[in-house]
Amino acid sequence: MVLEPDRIGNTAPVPRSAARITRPMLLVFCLLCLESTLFLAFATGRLETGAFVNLHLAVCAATATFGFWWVGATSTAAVADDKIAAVLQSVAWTVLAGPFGTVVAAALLVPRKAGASHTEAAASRPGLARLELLHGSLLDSRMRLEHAHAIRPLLDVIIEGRQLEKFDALSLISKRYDPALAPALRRALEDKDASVRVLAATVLAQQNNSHTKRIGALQAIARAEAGTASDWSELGQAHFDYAVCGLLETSRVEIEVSHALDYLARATELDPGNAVAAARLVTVRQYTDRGR
Amino acid sequence: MAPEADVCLIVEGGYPYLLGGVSSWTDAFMRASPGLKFYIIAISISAQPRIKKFVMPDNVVGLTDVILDVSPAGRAPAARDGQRIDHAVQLMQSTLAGEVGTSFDKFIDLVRQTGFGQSALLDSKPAWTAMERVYQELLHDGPLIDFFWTWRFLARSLLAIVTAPLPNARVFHAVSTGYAGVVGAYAQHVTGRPYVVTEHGIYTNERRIELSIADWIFDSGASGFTVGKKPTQLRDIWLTAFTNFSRISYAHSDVIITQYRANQDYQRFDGAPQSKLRIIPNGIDIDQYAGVHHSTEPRPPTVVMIGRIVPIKDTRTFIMAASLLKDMVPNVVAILIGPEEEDPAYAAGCRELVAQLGLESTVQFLGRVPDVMEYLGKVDVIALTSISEAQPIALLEAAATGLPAVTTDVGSCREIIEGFEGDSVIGRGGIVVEACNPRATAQALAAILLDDEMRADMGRVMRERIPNLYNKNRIRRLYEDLYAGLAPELALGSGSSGSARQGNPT
Repeated sequence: MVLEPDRIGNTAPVPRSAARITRPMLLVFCLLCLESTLFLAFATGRLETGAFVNLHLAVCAATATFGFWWVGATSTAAVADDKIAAVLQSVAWTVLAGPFGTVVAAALLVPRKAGASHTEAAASRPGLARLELLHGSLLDSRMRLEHAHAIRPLLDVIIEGRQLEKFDALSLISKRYDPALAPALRRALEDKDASVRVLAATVLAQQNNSHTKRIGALQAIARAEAGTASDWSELGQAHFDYAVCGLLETSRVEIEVSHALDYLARATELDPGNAVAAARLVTVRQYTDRGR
Repeated sequence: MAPEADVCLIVEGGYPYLLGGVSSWTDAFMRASPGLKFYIIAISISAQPRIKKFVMPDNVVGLTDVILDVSPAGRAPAARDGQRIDHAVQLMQSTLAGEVGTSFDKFIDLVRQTGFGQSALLDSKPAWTAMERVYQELLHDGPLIDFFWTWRFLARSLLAIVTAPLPNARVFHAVSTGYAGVVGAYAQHVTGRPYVVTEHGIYTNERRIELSIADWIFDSGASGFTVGKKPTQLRDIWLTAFTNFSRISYAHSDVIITQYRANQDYQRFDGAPQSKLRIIPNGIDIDQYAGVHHSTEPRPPTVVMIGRIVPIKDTRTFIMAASLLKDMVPNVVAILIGPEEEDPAYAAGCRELVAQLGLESTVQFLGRVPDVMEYLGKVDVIALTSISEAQPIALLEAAATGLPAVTTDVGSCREIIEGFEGDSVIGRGGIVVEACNPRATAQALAAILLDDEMRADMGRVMRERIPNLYNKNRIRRLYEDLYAGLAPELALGSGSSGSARQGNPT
């Protein structure tokens, strides 16, 4: 896999500011005012042709130079190219057609700005921006993930894969279990192939065992040292992790959450200054509130 | 010279050193035919303690241990042996990781002719060069060190097998495929005697499952991120080897037996010819179990689970189910009968779970009991929450006493409980539930415990179905007839003991 660090890896979220949105437009507006004034002066005979042309070219050159500096110096790399292109476009239209060209450039800049808003929206949400850039990179082959089209969602493999593919999928689920994978695991328990069901049941039992084992061990520690807030906090967290692992039925989830609340409350009672326990308690309470 | 035997049973990782379903089956199988002389080849690894857990019956005339990771040194390789060593390694490669064909037979012949052993085929320079070639072909983008140890174990096990001493037996009978099946194939090739394989569970499937969740195999990302192509993994080498072991075993065997139909699909998939396939189920002593008297004394509703307290039996699901069942049948008692020493940590975890759930007064751990029949008469339903099973003897025994059952949908449990196409006994002897589902298990148990009529009806179905199909005497006859068909000298009255069926009235 080849990533371009500047475009993907190091893409920092770009701060949204008024200047970022209005700067090229402001420049075009100023250019339009200057060009209109020159044109009116020329049309009413106050300027001769030679002076008008010289002044017109000087305004364009000054605008281009100032634009390069103003936009380039105040924008991040990710958007500077776009803005400079907008400035150049406006100047080019203006050189060719004076204030009429500036109007055309401004008109072109409006849809350009609407398009840019998508990028800006993405930039306002770093995750989305990264995803967009990753997607773009994948599409234009800057990220060479060979046969990316061949990637199949795990659930599809469980539903319609061959036996060995299902085994591979369940192997992944076993090693990198995440609550989001629970539906795939549950689906595998209903597979028509008995050996797939056996493997799915083995993985499920493994996950359940690891949770109950952890709870058992922490319970023993907490009971042995009844006064330690951090032990009760760990026990509460273990119950909460089990509750949200996606493997339990609703009634069992409620029991585990209730244990989590009890133990975390006990931890905060024992040590009101225990920030970890307090934060965990808030998380569990938020979870139960969402549930209601 | 080993003593003469009628049947040489080949067992891997079990009898007489480990307890378990297949070990119990092996013991009962030999005891059921006292007129036959048995010889045991027990396959294990050096790290496994070889302390007998069974008192072997009198009709066992000998035992040979084949230790897979200990192979004979053989003769020292000479300078001119380079090409032959390379050829031998090629044959091992085809046997373990390629199209098997006749390469295993050729490998046996080559080792017997040359006297090669570990010194020549694993420890010599030509063997190293040949191994490097195999590495390039099989796992060129994976770690050499991992490949080296995998190759060394597999090659050594092949060497240990093809140099193992064979008893003078009339029939060779492997109790699984895998290494036992390869020993059987080797015996068949060398002696020309008939070879039978009985598969309880499907070996290749069990290994596929095991390897899928094995954490000792390193999954390499070395082959990059080309997602359209499956990367070469070490586990694939193991899987191919186990699949090839089954193919070798199937190709050399005269008859391939399993206990229930669903297994035959897997056997065919792994290359077993249809013409060799047969079904012979497990058998139990019907008279003994049918005679169990069900106590009418007042007692709380009682559920029993019989089996080792190990993860594959999923005892935790049984305990969780007991917790839910307590809400539906408040005075229920759940009994666990079975040894805990095989996985003490798991057993301790189960006891902790009982404490966590506050079930101390509901769940009882009885450990190993001297007479399980005593308990079968005092319970209302048997539960089996196993993740994997073949044809559980404990279920058959309980069912023979007329106990309804709640089992997971594993092995032949559904066949035992619900019958199958053509079954003369119609009806359900219990309820089949999804594995790892405590609520479904609890609901099924409650349904049976709370409905006397249903319970009685299911018990009747079980009592009728089991003697028909799983009668020990019938099963013994099937095997003895099979042996006699393959080795006529084992027919009635002409076995090495003088009477193959003597003392076995049917």
